Amino acid sequence: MLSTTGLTKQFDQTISVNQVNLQINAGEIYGLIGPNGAGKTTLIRMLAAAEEPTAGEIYISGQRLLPDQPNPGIQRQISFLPDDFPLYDDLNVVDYLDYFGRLYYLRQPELAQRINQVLELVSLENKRQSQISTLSRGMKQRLSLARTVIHRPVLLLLDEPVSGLDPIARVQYRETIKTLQTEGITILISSHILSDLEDFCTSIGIMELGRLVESSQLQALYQRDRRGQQIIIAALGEAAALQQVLQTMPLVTVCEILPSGNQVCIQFAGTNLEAANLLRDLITGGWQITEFSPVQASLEEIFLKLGYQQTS
Amino acid sequence: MQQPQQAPWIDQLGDWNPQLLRELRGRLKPRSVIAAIALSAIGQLLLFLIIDKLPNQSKWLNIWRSFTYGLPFLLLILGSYLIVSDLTHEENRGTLNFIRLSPRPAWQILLGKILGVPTLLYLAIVLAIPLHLIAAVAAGLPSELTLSFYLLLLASCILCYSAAMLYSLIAVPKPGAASWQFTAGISFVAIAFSLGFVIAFYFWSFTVAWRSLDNFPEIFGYSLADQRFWFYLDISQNFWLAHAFTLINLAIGTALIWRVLLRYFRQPRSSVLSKKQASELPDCSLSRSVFLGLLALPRFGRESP
Repeated sequence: MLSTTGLTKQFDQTISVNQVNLQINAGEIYGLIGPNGAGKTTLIRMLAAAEEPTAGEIYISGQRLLPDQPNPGIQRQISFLPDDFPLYDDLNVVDYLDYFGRLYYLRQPELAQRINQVLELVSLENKRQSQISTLSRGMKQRLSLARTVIHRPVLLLLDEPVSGLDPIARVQYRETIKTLQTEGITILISSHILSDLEDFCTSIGIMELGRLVESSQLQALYQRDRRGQQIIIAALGEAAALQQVLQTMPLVTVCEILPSGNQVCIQFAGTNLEAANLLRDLITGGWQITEFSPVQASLEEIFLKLGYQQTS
Repeated sequence: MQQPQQAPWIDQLGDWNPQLLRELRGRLKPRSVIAAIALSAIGQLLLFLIIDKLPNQSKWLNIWRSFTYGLPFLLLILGSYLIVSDLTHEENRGTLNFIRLSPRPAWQILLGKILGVPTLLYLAIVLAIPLHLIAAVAAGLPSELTLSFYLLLLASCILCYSAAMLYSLIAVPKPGAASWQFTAGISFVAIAFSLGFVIAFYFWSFTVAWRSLDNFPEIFGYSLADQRFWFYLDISQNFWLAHAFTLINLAIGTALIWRVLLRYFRQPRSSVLSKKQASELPDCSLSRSVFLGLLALPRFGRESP
């Protein structure tokens, strides 16, 4: 769906994006994470044709995005929502969507139907005649999203779309993005709120200092991290006795009693199958296990670990 | 909920040029329209009352003169200011980027801006045109003079507004970078530029376009002794030749601006001229005819061949 080779952007002496090779398959939600100044926004702007690359190539649906030339065919397929989502305060909601629909060659009666659909998608049906200047920040953000999808793009580029939203608005926004995925839209989204990305992303890319230091399926990332997973175990009886037994088990690298006093936390270097074998061995060894909980590292923890490792 | 039905012509207009429809929708609010109509009507009424009280004057001729002197000022200066202000605002806010990324050709967007941004100004001017025409007929002025005035004004507006658009795109460095002082500075330069253009419009109209009219001294209250030559051709001697020359030059100027404008609108971070355009500029016969013509005029303007 989207691929780049050696994509680079240099501003004066600063290399903002450095030799990025990105591959996103159709229908994916690709989360782009990284610290401020990592080059996420510049990368997204180049993919949206809002910024010209210094070097490298961009392919969208197999077509090359040619720099220095109009690309009307590709531009119809892409949609871009920047982090500041500028709007026209002098228009009402329906006229705003009508304007962008027409810019993308939508005509009546399809245009009116599509406006209704996207307003329903972002739950702004009751605000259709409202002046944009009167909308709340969350509504404006949702209206911007409606604008980006009005022409049914196949690739949606969202730069920090949930920044500044309250928790309820973020949940609504997440649900909207999931709905868009079910419609077959490929989405590239950058965000600092990693728990949100964890909820709906299928793949993750980590950027550091302009480089894409990690790019893989989210499940593969978890799987890789699971090789050093933590497991919390509790059993009837003395926790200290359980700790002694666990310390003798293979693949258990660290074992300590948690402050609660009846739980033991182990660092386990095995796979899921080997963790299941450990549980079976404990039960057959006569332990009455009341808790056996593998602790899944959050995306935030993985990001901190991977980002730091790769850069260093 | 169903969208209220809108007139078919609105749909057709929007399909042809969404930018124009967007500008009209943003500007033609009832309050603004009423204000434009009221200002135009009050201005005309005041002008009529003032001239009516002047002694020993040809009332209708003076009304015609007032409009002829005033309309270019209003249209060229205020129109250019509105366009520069609008584009600067859009570029600053970042909304112009969305339009750039749309698959619509740049000419449609820019034409929509020229036609749509000064809508209220156009409305006020259009409402004043009947009185201007009535005054021309009542004063017994030749119809070709009135036709010439509007033709030259239209061509000048297209050139001036195109230049204003190009200027505002070049002047604003990037979204969010400009302060209000910067925007005010840009607008001030635009007003100064268009004021110069208005003066050039009058100078050219009087000394070249209208000079050959038989009753020029009676119409304008003074006479011109000088002739205007271009490559030893007395262009001010023939009314139609003067107009053909003027309109061709305005068209060439507009075409050159649009060539740069169409490219620069799409790539605002590139150089103003492409390498190809820069290399063509001093060489092409089109620009040679313009620049040689302009250079030749002052040189031979005040002497006989």
